[in-house]
Order: sequence, then structure tokens, then C-alpha cells
Amino acid sequence: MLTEVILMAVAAICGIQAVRAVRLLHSALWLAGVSIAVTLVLYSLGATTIAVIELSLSVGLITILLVFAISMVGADSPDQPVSRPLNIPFVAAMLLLVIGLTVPLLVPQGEAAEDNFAVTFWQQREADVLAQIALIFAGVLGVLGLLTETSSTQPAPEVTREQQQPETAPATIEVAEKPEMEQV
Amino acid sequence: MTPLHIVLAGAFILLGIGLYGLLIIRNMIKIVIALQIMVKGAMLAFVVAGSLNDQLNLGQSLALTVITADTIVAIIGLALAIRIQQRRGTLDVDEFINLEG
Amino acid sequence: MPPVVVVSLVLSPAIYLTGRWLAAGARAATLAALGILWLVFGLAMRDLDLAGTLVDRLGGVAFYFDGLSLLITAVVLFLSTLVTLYSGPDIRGKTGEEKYYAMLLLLSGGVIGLVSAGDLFNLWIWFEMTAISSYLLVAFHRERGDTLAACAKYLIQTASGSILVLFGIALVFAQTGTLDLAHTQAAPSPLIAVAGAFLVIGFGVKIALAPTYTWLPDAYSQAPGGISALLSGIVTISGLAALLRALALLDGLAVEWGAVLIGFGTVNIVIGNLLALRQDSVKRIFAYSSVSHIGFVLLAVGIGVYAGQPAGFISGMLHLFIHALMKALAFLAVGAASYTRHRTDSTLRVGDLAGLAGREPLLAAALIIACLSLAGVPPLAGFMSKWLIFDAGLRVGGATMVLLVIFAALNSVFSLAYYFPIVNALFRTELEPPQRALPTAMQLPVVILTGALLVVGIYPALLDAFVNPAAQALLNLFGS
Repeated sequence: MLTEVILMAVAAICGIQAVRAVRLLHSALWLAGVSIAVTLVLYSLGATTIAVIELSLSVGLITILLVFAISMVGADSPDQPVSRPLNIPFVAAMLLLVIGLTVPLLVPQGEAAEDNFAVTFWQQREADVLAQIALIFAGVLGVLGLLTETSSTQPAPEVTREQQQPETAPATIEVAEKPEMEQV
Repeated sequence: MTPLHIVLAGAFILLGIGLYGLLIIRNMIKIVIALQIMVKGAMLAFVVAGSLNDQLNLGQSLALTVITADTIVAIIGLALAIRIQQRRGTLDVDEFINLEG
Repeated sequence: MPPVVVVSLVLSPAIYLTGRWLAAGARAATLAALGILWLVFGLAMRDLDLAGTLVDRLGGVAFYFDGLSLLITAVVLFLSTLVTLYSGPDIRGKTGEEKYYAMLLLLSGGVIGLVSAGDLFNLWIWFEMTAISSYLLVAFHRERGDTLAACAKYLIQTASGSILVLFGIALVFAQTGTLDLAHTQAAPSPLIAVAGAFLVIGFGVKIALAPTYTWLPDAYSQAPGGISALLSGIVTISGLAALLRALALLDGLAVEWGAVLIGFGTVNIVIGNLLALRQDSVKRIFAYSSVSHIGFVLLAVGIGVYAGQPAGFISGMLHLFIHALMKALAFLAVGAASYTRHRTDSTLRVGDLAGLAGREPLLAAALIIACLSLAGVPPLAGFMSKWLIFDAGLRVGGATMVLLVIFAALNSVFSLAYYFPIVNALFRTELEPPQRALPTAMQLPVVILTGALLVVGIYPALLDAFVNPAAQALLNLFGS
């Protein structure tokens, strides 16, 4: 139990630091810290499969993607957090309310033994898997669509109240990596 | 008070941290990071929920799906951020909030 | 999995590939796909006992296709077909055309999947599916900074809402140990109340419940015309369907949830109206009008949940259907008007519509009918459904309810304040002549929708085949 307390505390601290960091790169690294702590918690709960997946996806893929995106926008885009005085007390109060109402009421209810992970995921939740495939397809199309340069064989409509767009050099970005969602 | 309760409370705390982030963060990419923190909380919640019912594998399956779906959302969010940086020259979200009133 | 969903998901990559190989082939492929979907839908409906449910199982995940699914699937297929037709001239030749049509089909499949879901977590996946396929569609005009900003706002708020929903689902799962929508009846407890709150707020973002509606005007006005029609017709409504399915689990608090829905509905009606008044851009007026009309649907459904009587559900479902038609007509007409004037429809102002009645009488007529119907002017369809909502409220009785009904009715009349300038502008002296002819592909959906609205206004019983099963399904969900 102490393990979980320490790990969750580490996760929380890394999370707060991620939110408060001014430089984007630092923020991404703190997020990786959260992911590592979460991985360890999952492992200590016995959820080994998901721990491994969380490690490879969050610490690996998402961190790399974040670094890639940050380098694309310019690593020096700092973030000046806006702080309104009521933010922290409000969120803290909501949290206490939620935790107080829910956590004590949950009691472990042991039930019948279940299949192993592979059977559960691939067969019992097959509908989820199929939906995910469609989701991934939609995501890939979305990213490709968003990042490719636009051109049109129609004459462009007149732009009336548009701001003057900064003429950055159009970078045709080929999104080389698709999210490698290797199902375990 | 089992470890599961601690972790569930922690999941809610992560949610709270993420929400707090959404309130104060102004950079689009950092908002994606804040969303990811919230997702980790959700994932933990599912694993705990599964474990409470002795259906840990079901909980893990659900958590896996959550990671997949929200990773895709994060990727789209990042692509959008890159695009916005190119078009508007800024990633400051406060400039989006009031588009036309 | 319901065959309609499977077919649409499988055909979507086919459309994409067709679009890559054949220029402008994507749209034809989409129409073919939709034709197949109508066929599949029709065949599946023969098996459906309209008072009951088609049950389907895939592994451990159930699918329940009931009256509510029937209604929304019909709306989805109808609107998707019209929007695909309409989008032809609008989207032709643009980069990413094939992605647009592929995503359109994915969006339709996602919504149908959502309303057929029988498993709480599966419901969420389809919810995500709907959201993800709509992101690119909303941001389709991605060369415009405003469009990207609108999509960013939409993404941030929707994603946050969806994570809140996840927490709600996790809590329900923790308490009951099952995710099957038919078997999960959670006993009331503070934990379930918190779970319900998470679900309401999370889905509420998608439904544009106050105060999380701020993404809606931007997304609706910046999206391409056909997508605005789809967004208001099916995407926002899918959030409502998801919410209702999820709330039905938390039985035992039915009366309270009814009051919550009524409360939120009323707030939406008022806020939508007030904010629409301040707008000058036509699409934003329609967007805020959608906020208001969603409020009406919520009010009606809330009355149904509260009272346990079918009247609220029937009027709510009727208004859902009719509003989808009205709003789609409005957006398509505005988009077509912009197209002929070679303008982007996002920034089209009320004044820019001047003289439309002279040049494009069809579009002007369509806009007039849409606006008057939205305002609830008899004998148009909008009046009929709003009247039924008020009637349902009055049947419940009680001083508060009567006051609410009067208040809602006043708001409905009040909405003329922002519809009327649009109608008025159509007849003013022309400011700019049209530059392009109105393509048939855009005329046809407008004509069909106008005709449908007129017919339904005179003879609403035509929709009974859809509305009654949906109301019955809701009654089954919420009646105890």
C-alpha cells in the first residue's frame, strides 16, 4: 500500500510540474514522468499487460510525438500560464467532494474467475477492437488531411474579413509515421 | 482501505490536475499534455474498477482501448497545433476563445 | 454488430481508395455506399418488431437496436445522402476530397453505432469515433486560421467531455461489475450520483448544454455547409442519445434526472435565444438557434422522464426529427447562397443575403420556410412539434411546469427577433449579383428538404412510424 501512495504522489507531482512548466519540452518530460509512475502503479496492481503497453505507448510514442511537434512549432514557444485566484481552491474542492463520495463506497466484490487477457480482449471485447480499427483509420485520415497543403482546382472564394495570414513557407509535411498501434 | 482505493483517489487527482491545467494553460501543445494526464487518470480508474470486481483483464482491455483512442485524439490535437502555428503564428489559446463573440 | 454499421465502416476505406484513383470518384462511391446502406437498413427493418428490440451480440458486447436507434439511423441516412449530394460542387477539386467523403461515411457509421450500442463502454468508443471523424470535417477549410481555431476549441472541449464520461463509466463499472446496458441497474447511492454527474457533464459538452456550448457556434459556422447541417442534425443529437442511454442505467433517480434535464433545457433555450440576437453572421445565428432547439428537445425529454408519460418523449423525438430537417435546410440554403455569390459561407452576414428573393427564389423560399419553421410559426412543422412539447408540459400540470411552458413559449416567439431580419433581408435591394449558377446538386437537397418540411407540417402523422417506436423505447428505458 505504501508503494501505491508513493507512486501516486510522484505521479501527481510530475503532473503538477507538467502543467506549470513554462518551456514545452520540460512539460513533455514531466508528462513522461507521470507515465512512468503510472506504469509502475499498474505493475504493482498486477495489471502487467497494460503496464507494458502504457510504457511503450505513453513514455515511448507520445513523448516522441510531443518532442516532434514541439520542434516543429519552435522549441521556444513558452507558455505563460494564466492564473485566476479561484482556480486551485475550486478544483481542490471538487476533487475532495468527488473522492469523498465515491472512494469509500467501493468494496471489492470477488466474482468468478475470468479468461486471460488475450481471450478477454480479442474475443469478449471484439466489438471494441473492430471499432478501434475504424477509429485508427479515421485518425490517420484526419492527421493526413490536416497536415497536407491545400490546393484547389476551383478559384478561391473571396476572403472578406480574414486577417492577413502570415506567409510562412509552406512546408509539405509528409506524416511518415502512422500511429503504430500494435495490438498486444 | 486497500491499495485500490489509493489508486482510485490518485486517478481522480490526476483528473483534477489535468482540469486545472485546462484552466490555466494557454499553449495548445501543453493543453494536449494536460488532456493526456487526464487520460492516465481514466485508465487507472478502469483498471481499479476491473480489479474491484475480480475482472482485472476486462479492466485492462478497457484501459487499452482508452489509451488507443485518446492517443489518436492527442495526435490529431498536435497536428492541429502544428497547423495553427503555421497559419496564425501563435499557439495561444486565449486568442481562440473569442472568435466573434 | 448491426449490419448497417459494419457495412458503413467497411465501405469507408473503399471510398477513400476510389477517390485516390479516380478524380472525383469519391462522391459517386459515397452515393453508391449510401445506397447500399439504405438497402441494408431496409432489410434489417423487416426483422425489427417496432415495439421491441433487435438484439445482437459480438463476443461479450451487446447491441440493442430499438426505436430510438431506428429514428436516429433514419435521420442519419437521410441527411448523409442529402449532404453528399450537396457537397459535390462545394468540395469538388479541393485537396482531401476523398478524405471528406470517407470521413462522412465514417461519421454516419459512428453515429449509427452509438445509438445501437448495448454496452456502456462500447457506447463510449462510438462516441469517440463520431468525434474523431468530425474533427477533420470541421477543419476542412484548413487554410483559414479561424477554422483551425474553431476546430481546436471543439477538440479541446469534446476531448475533455469524453474523458469525464470515461470516469463516469468507470464508476458505474466499479459499482455494478457489468457494462451491459440491459442488465446494469445501479442502486442509488452517492457514488452513482457522482457517476451520473460525470456522464451528464461529459456528454453535455457534446450536446452543447450550457455552459459548455461555446465550441458550437464556432464549429458550426466554420465547417463546410454540408458538415454544419450534419453536425446539427446528427452529431449533437448523438450526444443526447448517448446521455439518455447512460442515464437510463441510473434508475431510481428518474424524477431527479428529469428535473435536471428540464432545468438544463430551459437554460439552453434562453441562452441560445439571447446570444443569437447579437450575431450578424447568418451561420452563427443558426448555430445559436441550434443551442436553443436542443434545449427544447431536452425540455421535452425531461418532461417525459419526470412524469413517466409518453407525451414528453413523443414530442421530444418529433422535434428532434423536425429540427434536424429544418436546421439542415437552413445551413444548406445558406451554403448554396454563398456558393452562388462565390463567398465563404462562414462569414456571410445577414446583409449579404440582400436580394436573394429576386435572384434565387428557390433558396429564398427555402430560407423563409426554414426560418419560420424554426421560429415555430404555424402551420409549419416547427410549430407542430413545439406545440406538442408545450402540451406535454401542460399535461403534467403544477404551477412550476405551467410557468415553464409559458416561459418556453415566449422564448419561441422571441426567436422571431433574429429570424425575421434574415427573411427581411431576402427582399431588400440586391447588394451583389450572383457569380455562379446554382448547381442542380445543391438544388436537389434543398428542394427535397423544403418539400419534406412542408409535408410534415401539414401531416405530422407521417413520421409516426419513426417517432412512436423511439418514444416507446425511451419509455422502456426510463419507466420503472
